Amino acid sequence: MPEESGNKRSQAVVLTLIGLPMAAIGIANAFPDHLAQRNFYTDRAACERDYTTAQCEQGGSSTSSGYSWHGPYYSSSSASSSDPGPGRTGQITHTEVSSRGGFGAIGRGLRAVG
Amino acid sequence: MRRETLVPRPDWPAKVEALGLDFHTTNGEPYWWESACYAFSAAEIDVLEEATDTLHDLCLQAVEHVVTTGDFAQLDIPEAYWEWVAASWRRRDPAIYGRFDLVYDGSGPPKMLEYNADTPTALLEAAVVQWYWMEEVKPGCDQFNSIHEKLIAAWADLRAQHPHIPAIYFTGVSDEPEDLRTFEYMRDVCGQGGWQTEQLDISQLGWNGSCFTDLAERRIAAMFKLYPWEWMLQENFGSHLLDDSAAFVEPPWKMLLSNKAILAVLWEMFPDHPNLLPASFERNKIAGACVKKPVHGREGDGVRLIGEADGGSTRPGLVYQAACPLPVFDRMHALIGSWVVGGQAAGIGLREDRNPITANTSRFVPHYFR
Repeated sequence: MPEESGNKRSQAVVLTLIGLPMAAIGIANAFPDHLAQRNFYTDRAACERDYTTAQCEQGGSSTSSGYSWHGPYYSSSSASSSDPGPGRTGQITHTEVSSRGGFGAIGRGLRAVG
Repeated sequence: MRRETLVPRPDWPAKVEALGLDFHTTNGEPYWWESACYAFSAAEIDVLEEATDTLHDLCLQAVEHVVTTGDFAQLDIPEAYWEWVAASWRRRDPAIYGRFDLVYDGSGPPKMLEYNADTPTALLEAAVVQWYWMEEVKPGCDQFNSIHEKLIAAWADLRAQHPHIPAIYFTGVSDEPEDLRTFEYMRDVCGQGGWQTEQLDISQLGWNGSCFTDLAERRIAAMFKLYPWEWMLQENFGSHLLDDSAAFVEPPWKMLLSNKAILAVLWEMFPDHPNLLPASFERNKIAGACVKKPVHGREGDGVRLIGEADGGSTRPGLVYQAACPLPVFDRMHALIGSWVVGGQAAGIGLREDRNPITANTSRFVPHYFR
């Protein structure tokens, strides 16, 4: 049968990502439990007492709670050494903690597709 | 419908690997099997296409029924998530794809065994690898397989509807080669549909107290996850799904269709439908031999054939479906996986096995028609 537009198959199948060696794409390994945190402030001036102007950003996920400015994330497990700010001034209104590793436990060792 | 024996291409491993199918052999046994193929007539393909569209329509009616009646308990979904799932359906959160498992031998109506509507497997094989096989081995023939171009179109439609979403994140268990290649392939067609895409392992997803985040702590607005909903609900971040506003593909309402309990719901709603098999939560309502299926089973796991004289269990979480043996060709039991993409029948892929129950080791065999 000659190929024609009425066929039930894709006219072309072009791949742009797939077919690359896995190493070229980068396989993520299971990510260990990990905590990071960032501090929120009521205003920019309060934030800039702890961080540089460039490190302070407006918005973020806690904005709806009234904390409108925040500093950068740093590791919770080594907060004293990884916090890029020069030190606390007591103006923090909220510390937001970000965690990982909450999905994937069942799937590791089992196949996810069916 | 018939099975043809073929001489495989001598360099077939390199050819399928070039297309991303680097899991073509498992434990020394080829998973991609081109020493045979299945041949159909155009009329048989039309029957499969129509049955698939019909079944998808019935399934959407079944979802509406479950949401309207609120009868989630028999699906073994935790009560805390019932309203969340229902809201996903009421919003008509968009879905991209799914795959029916059908029994069909070329005569009579195809019968639905189940609907893999959440995390269907064998996508790359069906959409891409068998397409290239046919171009080379059966030139001039046709194949029921517009999966690739329908996926691109479905993602492009979604892009047009949601221009404000900056990117879609692709996630799953990335150290499982088949899972990785499947969501990479989906990422590929998503990108061709006009989306910016990102990728991370499912264990790398972050939660910052109010939303899911990527490794740079950016909010994730939309996510394709190759990870079953029933697992996500059980895991540590499961309860955060209720607080987050990210859009998921496949959406939460799809967990109603990937659940084997939907088989009993469908039979109750559409008794004697030619594309359905009798199914019930009660063994004694199914005459003759039947198959016992866990509602959350995957790839044949926990599926048991039960004889006519065997009673069932009153244990919750089980569905009984009338036995409908797969057709046997050259001593191989053949199962048709029929794909739905963007709400339309899009193509088929065949699995075969010496065992009457298809499992994750069952071979994928290409097809053509004329």
